[in-house]
Amino acid sequence: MLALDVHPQSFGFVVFEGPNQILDWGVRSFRTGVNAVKIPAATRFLALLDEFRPSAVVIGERLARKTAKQAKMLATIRRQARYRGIPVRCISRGDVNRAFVGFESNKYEVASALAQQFPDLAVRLPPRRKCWQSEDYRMGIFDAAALGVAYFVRREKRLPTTSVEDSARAQ
Amino acid sequence: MVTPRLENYLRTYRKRSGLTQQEVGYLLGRETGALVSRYEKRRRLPPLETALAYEEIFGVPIGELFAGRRQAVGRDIQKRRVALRAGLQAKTPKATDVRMAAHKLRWLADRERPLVANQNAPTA
Repeated sequence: MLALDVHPQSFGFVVFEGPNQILDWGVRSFRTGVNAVKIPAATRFLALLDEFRPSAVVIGERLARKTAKQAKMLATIRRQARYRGIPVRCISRGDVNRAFVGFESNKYEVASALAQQFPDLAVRLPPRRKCWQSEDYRMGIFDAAALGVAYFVRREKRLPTTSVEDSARAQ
Repeated sequence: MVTPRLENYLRTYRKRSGLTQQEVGYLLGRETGALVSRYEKRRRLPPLETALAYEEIFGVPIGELFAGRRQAVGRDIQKRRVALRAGLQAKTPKATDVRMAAHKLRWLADRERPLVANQNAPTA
């Protein structure tokens, strides 16, 4: 299963093999400007799909604050996943909080819990940010991992997950 | 049913180690990490010496590093084993070869079980 956390200029990803094992993780940037990344985001996403052939793609449900770039990226994800017959599932922030009871006060708490659950991710855990700092790009990995864990928790409890089409209709 | 696994887990174990492709390339005796990238993306199959080197570097058996490939080889062998056994059973051995034929059939029957380790691991 491939979990993605899509941002306007990058996406974090974690590839799961079952709920307790991760195969790959990282952040892929598609920023523009002076240090523009030449490889398009779609190519980077396709490389992940082709390399791991996931059984599902899990993305976050962002009903508000969706930028044009995010929308374009989500449309690419939906199109390419459908072309390969891979279901795309949406996980809400509430689902993530319910999967991390006791750690849901902020994203850093969730990331710390994930670093304990998956020691491979511990070295990528950024320091707790100060209120004047912007978010570390590595948080994308932990946000994606949180989505993945929440997806498995819902699946374990046999709760239905929202398909990306339902999520788009809700918007 | 055997759960399909990735052809290789080289990237996973490299990332767990924290090493870069260039560093693994150096350990493999290469100038760059280009070949490591090709192995990880399954564009090239490493030769036996490199596969053994990977086993040494990560401390993981080859069968686990190349789990998908191992599964595929296991399936092919299993098919041929069944065919060979059927062929031996169909053939009437000479009086001098009866014991050897019986031994072969017993040996093949003993091994007619899945050989792949960790085959029950879930898929990506």
